Amino acid sequence: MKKLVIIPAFNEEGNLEKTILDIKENAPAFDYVIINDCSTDGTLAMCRRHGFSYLNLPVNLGIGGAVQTGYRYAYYHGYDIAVQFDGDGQHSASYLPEMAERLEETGSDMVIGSRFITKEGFQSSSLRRLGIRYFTFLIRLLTGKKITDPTSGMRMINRKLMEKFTEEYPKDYPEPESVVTVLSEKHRVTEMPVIMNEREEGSSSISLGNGVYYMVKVSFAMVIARMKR
Amino acid sequence: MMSLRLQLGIIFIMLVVAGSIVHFLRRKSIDFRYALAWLFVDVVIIILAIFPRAMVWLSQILGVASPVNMVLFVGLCLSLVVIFSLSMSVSRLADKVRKLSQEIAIIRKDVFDGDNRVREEMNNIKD
Repeated sequence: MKKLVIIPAFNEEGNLEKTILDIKENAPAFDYVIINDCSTDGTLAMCRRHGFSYLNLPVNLGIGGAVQTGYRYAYYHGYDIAVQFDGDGQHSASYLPEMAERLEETGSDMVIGSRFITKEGFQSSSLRRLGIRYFTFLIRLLTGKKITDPTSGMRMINRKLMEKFTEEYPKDYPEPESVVTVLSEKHRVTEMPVIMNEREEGSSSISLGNGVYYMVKVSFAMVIARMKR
Repeated sequence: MMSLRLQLGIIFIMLVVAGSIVHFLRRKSIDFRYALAWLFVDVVIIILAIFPRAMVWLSQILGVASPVNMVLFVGLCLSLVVIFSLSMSVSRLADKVRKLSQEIAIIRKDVFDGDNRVREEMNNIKD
């Protein structure tokens, strides 16, 4: 079983070292690759200095394109499992082995690490939680399935979905939309309770200013994703 | 009705535009696909300028008071079609750039990793 951790990184100089250490210590069976999406800080220099495994994108592709690069790499190199993992210190690598077990045992195509099953750890602001609950509602409306944490960036997939995501993956804010696509095509998605931390450095890609655009774009994309099949 | 001067003016300008499209085609500054769309708009406007009665007829059907406004309206609609087709081709180009960038990033890593492997093998031979 070849397993790969995909770490999309845009200006993550401050968090990356800790993240890699976390993976090496707590998920030693996993390979990892950092996707440097044209960071303007010292992310690339740090990857080189420490000899980290990284992919350096020649042009900025945004989070969707960066993660897709990881899936493409995993697919080309024969990995059986790939997991998206944020480089900003929000995720803990200690959950990865259990996620892989769940993926195999339940025969799922995707396992999502959810903050909202046991409701422990960092729960995000109330406004964000409201938005997340709305996505949960919309997914249920569109597919009939319950996903408690559709915006979670901690998602593990098998080779079947790797191939699918290599062909097509949303450009920005990809998580809720791709969940709808995957569920619409009758793939199996399970969730697993995880505890996430508040990010240590950097800020969320979604601020109040583009929050409205985010909600409208993602809602629309989810409906279109459902209509494709 | 349209004045003869306006008719001739429109036809002259559209001929100049058609000439420049052909010029850019020869210099390969524009793809045939897009040049054809623009030439189509150009020709439609010329036809309407030559046969203003077609416009009078059309404007009566659509309830537009002045045939001149009709020319502008038809031109605008056709321009919108061209602009929309540009939005589509920009999207397609963005997809291609995305895929190429990803392939480049992966190939660069593969080559780099391959180099290391080659170097290690060379070192082993020396020992």
